[in-house]
Amino acid sequence: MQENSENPRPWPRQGPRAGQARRPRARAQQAAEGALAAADVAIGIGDGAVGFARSVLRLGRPLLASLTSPLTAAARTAAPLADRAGQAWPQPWLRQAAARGRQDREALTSAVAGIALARVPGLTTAVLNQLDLTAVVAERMDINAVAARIDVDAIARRVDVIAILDRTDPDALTRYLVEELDLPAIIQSSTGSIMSDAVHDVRMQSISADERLSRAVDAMLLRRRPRRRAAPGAAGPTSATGTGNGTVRVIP
Amino acid sequence: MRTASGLSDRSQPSVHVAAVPPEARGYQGQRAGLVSRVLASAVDLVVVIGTVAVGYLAVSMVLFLWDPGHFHFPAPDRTWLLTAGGVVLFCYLSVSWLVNGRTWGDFLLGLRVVNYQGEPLRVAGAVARSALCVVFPIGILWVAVSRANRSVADVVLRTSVVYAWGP
Repeated sequence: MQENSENPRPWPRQGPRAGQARRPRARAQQAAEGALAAADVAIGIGDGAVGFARSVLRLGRPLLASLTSPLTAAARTAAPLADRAGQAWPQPWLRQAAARGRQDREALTSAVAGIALARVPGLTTAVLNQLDLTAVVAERMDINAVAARIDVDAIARRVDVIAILDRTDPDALTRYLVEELDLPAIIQSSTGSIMSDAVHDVRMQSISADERLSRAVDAMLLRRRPRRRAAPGAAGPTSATGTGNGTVRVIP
Repeated sequence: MRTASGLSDRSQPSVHVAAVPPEARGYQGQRAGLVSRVLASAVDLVVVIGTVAVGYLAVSMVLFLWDPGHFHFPAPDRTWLLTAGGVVLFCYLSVSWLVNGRTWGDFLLGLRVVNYQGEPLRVAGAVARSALCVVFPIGILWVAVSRANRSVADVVLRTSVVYAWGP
């Protein structure tokens, strides 16, 4: 492994050791050529056997027809009646051969099925390892359609909320919420806002009362000129909303 | 209130008024009327009464600790109470006008005391105005009659009490 990792090339490395690696290769090539020659011989013998069988079949066809005619006739009559197949054979030796054949076939079938089933988990795992199931699902599956079929209410009915609450720590949860929400800051901010609004309201109400009292006193003293309210150094009115001598609109 | 250094500014009251609303901007810098000033004085009077009460309890505690066996709450007469209240009021007004230009009552009602130049009172002005307000408090009623919304103390010392909602 170490040598393969160092030399990923499939051909042998050139150098002093190249001659030593070339010897086993020549041996393997000679063995492969011998196997090919043996295969050629087997194929030739098989060809000759087939030709011989053809000659025998051509010459012995009448005899073979006399032997197979009872077999084909019995098969025609026994085919619809599978349960009585063994009883339809006219010759006992054929019946026995069929029984043995059925047993062999069933045994072979069960053996093949067992072997196949034994290989299924491994094959399935190997196939799954080669697949990107996430990509396959995302590409070929309509997840929204699947999700639309999910009965969320049924799932929710099966959830044991009490058990979940029993597993939680109310004290820790409360402390976490208090720390995260910073309740003192919220209370302080809201209290400050309420106080600010209240102070504004009181100030505007007092200004309105000042205006009303001044107008009442001026009316009693029969004054026609407005009061000189501007103090020294005052910038004066900066907004047209407040007139300084009219009715003050109180902030709602 | 927070200062630039992040420490609480204890010289100002803790109630924070963010900005002057548009309805009140036209009144800023104008002399306040009688109602606002009386309400501010009422708040200051409550502060002074509270201070005198706390002082009374403090004196009682000292007497109790001094001789618990013969302790009884002191029963000051009216003259003593008025004198103590007058002194506390004088100190309270003087310090408040000198430091902040306003008392607690002035702050809540959005008022400020300024001199004839529109500036905060100096020591002499603050002390003189405090003394005049303590000796002749009824002079505030002249605000309702005055054409310039001035009290007797304002007329004598050329001061003004103006609307000032800002800090």
